[in-house]
Amino acid sequence: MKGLIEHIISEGDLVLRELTRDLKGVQAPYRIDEYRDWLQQNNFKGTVRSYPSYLRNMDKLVTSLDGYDDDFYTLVQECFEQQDFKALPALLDAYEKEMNGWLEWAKTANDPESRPAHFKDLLSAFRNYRRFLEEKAAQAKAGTAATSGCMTAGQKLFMQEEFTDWLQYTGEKQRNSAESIVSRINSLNRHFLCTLIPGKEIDMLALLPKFIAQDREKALQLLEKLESHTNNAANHPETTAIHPVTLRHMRRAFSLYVQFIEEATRECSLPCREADGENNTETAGLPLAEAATTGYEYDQLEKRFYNRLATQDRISHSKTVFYPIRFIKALFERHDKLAGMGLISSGGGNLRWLNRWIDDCIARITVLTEKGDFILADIDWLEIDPQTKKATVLLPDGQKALLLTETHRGGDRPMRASAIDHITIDHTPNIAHVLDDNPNICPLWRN
Amino acid sequence: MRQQARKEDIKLDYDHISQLNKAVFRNVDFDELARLIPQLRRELMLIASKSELKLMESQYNLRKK
Repeated sequence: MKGLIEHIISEGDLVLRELTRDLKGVQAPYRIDEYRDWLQQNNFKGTVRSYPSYLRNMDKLVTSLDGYDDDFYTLVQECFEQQDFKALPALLDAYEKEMNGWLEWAKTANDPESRPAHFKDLLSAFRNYRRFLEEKAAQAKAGTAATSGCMTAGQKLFMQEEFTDWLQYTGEKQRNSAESIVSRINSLNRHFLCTLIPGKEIDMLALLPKFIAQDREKALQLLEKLESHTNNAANHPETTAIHPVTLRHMRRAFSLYVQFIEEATRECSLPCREADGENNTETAGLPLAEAATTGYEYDQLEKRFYNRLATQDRISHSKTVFYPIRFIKALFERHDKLAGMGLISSGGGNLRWLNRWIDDCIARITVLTEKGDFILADIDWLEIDPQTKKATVLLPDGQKALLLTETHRGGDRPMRASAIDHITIDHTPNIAHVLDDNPNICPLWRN
Repeated sequence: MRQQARKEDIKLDYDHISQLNKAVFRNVDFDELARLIPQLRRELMLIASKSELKLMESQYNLRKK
């Protein structure tokens, strides 16, 4: 057992461990946000703040475990990611044993700053957290994270992997909480969305891929409707059995998922189809809101287009080059973080540079209108009427002009769009051609 | 990245890019990656100068591809 002084000396090891975890994408404590929700739901409300805090305190004390070469939370996360729970009980035992060791030491140390009662609290927190992990492991082993019949065994959210990446790369959430956000959405689906149509239990989110394949626009309208029901419930929590704080977290998580689905399905969706007037019987109980004209100021357009440009990787076996923009962003971000901690001698500012580069690209986007060509920076307002499917922009001289689009056969025609997602950003020539045509200036993209 | 894809047996396509990114960060020395940054910045500038961005209706953009 190390003494407290030795422990303080090992602070440098803690920094290194944090960095290693960060680089590996390890969450410590693992699934902490979900654990907080679990505490709320399981009547441990008085400990929602203290237990996670105790776990963090413990994490500073326990830097290594007998018989384990790697960090505790790294190993726990691996068990869950690989769905291999054979090692988990022994790992939890080892951690508990380590904490018991600290408690025994405190009893004999007679140190006023290391009261045994404090270590007993830490141990209680860990035992509670252990219950949570064991419960989650049992659910995962049984192949179901659901308690109701709403979700099928082993079901994942539609585009879950991409969603967690999107959360990390767009900086919406730290890597550590991406998993918790997914868990909150699943929980919201099970306990609330599935029960929205009286007398039926329909797993709305499981139907999402089918809806999107059939008619993306209607699928997005359905998502917005579900979001609106969730907002209403969060504003009137007395109408549901879910704890108000948990419901607010769920609402935020679901809102991020809706935003992601809108963006992620934009580029890969089938060409927009006209609404065929058929009502999907499975969602008939949720009438969709009347479509209204939607307008966007420049800042709103910039934000939407930023997410598109910052996440559109180009990668293919068949091509000699690729454009891994999300990797570049992550690299710049990590470099800045290490530079900020003084662990790299060269300066930071790379992410700021990349953001400025993307903003400049957006400002220079060409906008074709019936009154000539402009750049996006000149446009203060873009408006879409979903009824007529016409898009108009406000020009610098205050006049309105119809937005035009090039067609694949050449020539321009009025843009038809009922939502901003139907307007794409075209690269001419496309990035693959630029990279192919310039082998000398882009050697890195070939490796 | 191609080397990592081969080494870790990761398919080089859009669906596996995040897995590939993680593998690169896990296996490649960060100093080595950090040395690429100045060149990456220069090349991003060149790409921006050689490709025009334009708003386009999605169905034509997809057909073009």
